[in-house]
This record gives sequence, C-alpha cells and structure tokens, in this order.
Amino acid sequence: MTTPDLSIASLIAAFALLGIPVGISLWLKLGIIRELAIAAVRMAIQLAFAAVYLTWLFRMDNPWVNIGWLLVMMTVAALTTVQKSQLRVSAILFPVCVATVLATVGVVLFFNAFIARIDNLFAARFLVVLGGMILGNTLSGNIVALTHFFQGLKENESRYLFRLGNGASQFEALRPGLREAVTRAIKPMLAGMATMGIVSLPGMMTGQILGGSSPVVATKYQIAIMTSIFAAMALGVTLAILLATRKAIDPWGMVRKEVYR
Amino acid sequence: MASALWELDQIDVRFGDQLILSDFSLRIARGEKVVLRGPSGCGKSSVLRLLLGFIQPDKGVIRFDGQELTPDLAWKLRGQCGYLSQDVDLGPGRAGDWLKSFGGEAASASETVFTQLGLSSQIADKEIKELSGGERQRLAIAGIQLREREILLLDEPTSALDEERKVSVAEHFLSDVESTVVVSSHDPAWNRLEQATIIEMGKE
Repeated sequence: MTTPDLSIASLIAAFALLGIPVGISLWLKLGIIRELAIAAVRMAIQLAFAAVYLTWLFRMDNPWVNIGWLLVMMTVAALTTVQKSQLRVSAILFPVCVATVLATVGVVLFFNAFIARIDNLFAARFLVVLGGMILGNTLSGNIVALTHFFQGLKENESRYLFRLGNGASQFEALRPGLREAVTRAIKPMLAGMATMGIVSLPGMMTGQILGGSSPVVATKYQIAIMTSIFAAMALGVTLAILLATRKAIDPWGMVRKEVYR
Repeated sequence: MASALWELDQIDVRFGDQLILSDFSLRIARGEKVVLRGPSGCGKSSVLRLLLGFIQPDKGVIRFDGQELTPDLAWKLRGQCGYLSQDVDLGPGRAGDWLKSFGGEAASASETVFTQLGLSSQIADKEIKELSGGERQRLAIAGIQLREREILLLDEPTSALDEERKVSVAEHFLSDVESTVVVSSHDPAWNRLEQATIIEMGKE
C-alpha cells in the first residue's frame, strides 16, 4: 500500500481548515490572525525546504554529508536554546552545544546500531530524521531546564548560600535545583508517554501508517523512538545544566552575574 | 594570646558606588565568641560573607589559619562551618525530612534541642512553608546545633524569636558551645554576656 500524493488543491483545502481558528479569533477577538498567518507561511516554507533537503540528502546518502547536516541542525538547536533561555549567549553556548551533540549523537548511534540494527549507522533516513526528532524534543527540554535552573539559582540565592556555608560541595548545593529543573523539563514528555495510544496517536506513527507501514511495525518504531527521545532529552538537559554550571559558577562557588541577560 | 583563626586586614568592600566596609580589620581567635553589632547596612552580613569567601574584598587581605584565603581554602573552611543566613531559606519539603538530611545521624538527638528551643516535636510533620518565621529560624538553629561544627557563623539568628528565646539562644551559643562563634546581630540579647568580644560597626 502506498500513500496517495496530495495535490496542490488538497493542500489548499488543508489551509482552508485554518478558516476555523480565524473565525474563532474574529469572534472572540483573540488577536492571533497575524501571528497565525506568519506561522502558517513559515511552516509551509520551512517544510518545503525540508522536503528539498531531505530528498537531496536521501539521494546522496553520503555519511559525511549526513553528519555535517546533523551538526548544522545541532548548532541551530543549541543557538535557539541559548537565545530563548534568557541567559547570555557567550556564557552558555559552548556547554549547550557539547550537551546537545553528546546526547543526540550518542542516542542516535545506539538506535541505529542496537535497535534498528542497520549496517550504515550514518544513513540519512535514520541519522537525519531521527536526529531531527530528538533535537526538537531536547531543544524544548533544554530551554525549560536551563531557564528554570538559573532563574531558581537567582531567586533562591539565600538557600544556595545556606547550603554552601554549611559545608555542602558544589554539586550538593546545586542538586536540589538540578533535580527540579530536570524534572520540569521531562515531565511533559512523561505525561505524553503515559497517555500515548489512548488519548493521542503520535504524529510519527500516524505518518508511518499513512506511508504504508503496518500498525504493528509503526507501533514498534514509535516505542523505540519514544524511549530514545526520552533518554536523549534526560541526558541532554542534565548535561547542559552540569556543563553550564562549570562556566557560570566561579571557583568560589558564586554564580557569575554576567550569565544573566 | 590564642592563635588567629581568621584575620581580616584593612578590608574595603564596595557594592557598586557604595563603600560598605572601609579599612576594616578583625582578628578572630579559635574558640572566640565575636558579636558584630551595628545598624542595618553597616556591613555586618558582609563580614560573614567575606569570612566564607562568598564575596571578595576590593582591597585588603583575608587569612584563615595563617594562609591567605583562596577558593580551595574557602571550600575547606566551609566544611568546618555551620552558617545561618539572615533570611534563612530551608527550601521545600517536610521539616523532619530537612532535619534528617541536614543533621544526618545527629538528627536522632533532635528532641533535646527541640525542647531547648521550645519547638514541638510535631513540627517534624509540618511542611517548611507552613512554619512561621520564628519556627523556621528555630528549626535552622536546631539543625546547626545538632551538627556541632567547629565554627559557627550566625547572621541575625534571633531576629524572629521572642525576647525570652533570644536570651536563651544567645546564652547557648556564647556560653555552652566550644566552637568559634561569629554573630552578626543588632539584638541586645547578644551583648549581655562577658564571654563575647563585641565589635561595634558603622561608627566613625
């Protein structure tokens, strides 16, 4: 079974559905029409670009090009994380880059080698597509975790100093904040995993079924991908915070003020 | 004269344009009880922060055990300290759990300390955020008493206590313990005792 292609008319019909939120916005004066228009146009352009580069990448399927592409995606993800985290780019860009690379590459290669068991570990179909899915989730987790962690450190400075002054090591003093930030970052995904298949059918699985895979195969992939994303996210956010603190905290244990924007 | 544990030599501390400490010197002997007195904003808390290496002087030298204070030395000395900050924040969770994690094995002896501080043992089941300022301060004092550290740095430790309790807490730290104690307080309860060296701050 193959998926029927969508004609231009079909895509226009898909965009026509946006008339519903536009109507609601007009009625309730939500003021989101401009934002919605920009988001819809951006989505269309970005996905059209993705279609072009993915077709090109799949056709070439050169390991070096695939790795290079993944590196570009990871750099953009790290930059976006830092820009949205309300922290100074120069202070935490490098730690976030390292954490993103280690978590994404580590988990993707594990997936390719031990779960998908493919011969070419750097195949575009797996490396780029799976890498993209992992990055998307790690990115949102990193933004939440870093913002929450450093904001918490600022707001609860007295609690932090109390621990240091009573002989806690650097890690012991940071651990409660780290625990809270990591939990906050991974909780939404945990909740999503717990209801998956009952409340919602994940986009990837739906796409795979529409693409002709059997629901059983699609389900197996979904499970493997969810565990991979979750593992990469937990590893990525924990590493990002731990590495960021090495740069953001001075040898006396004090948070450098220049970390905050 | 006992050997100096800490020496602050001609210290200046500046926060922005404001000079908090100017040419300030202090010598603290091992086992000595020192009370820093003075109006708020005179730099009492800054002295405690200097001793712990939380802030660095703009001018002058700090020595601990004869060595100039470095980050490594600061981490070591904090390991010998019990520190009570002015706006004590113990974090979330149950009071009993906090005491267990903070006091370790010593927490089993909390009943005696609780009685001394007028704390009910039922407080252990309460959430820290439900405690009053005074209860929270006494809980922190209990934790610090239980750990029996060699050095105690207490920043306004009795600000939320009633008069009677202030006196008993001051008496305990200045008379009953062998530790070196440095207290920052403008509370009269702390300068009644002869054992303490009173340092008046904020006076020309």
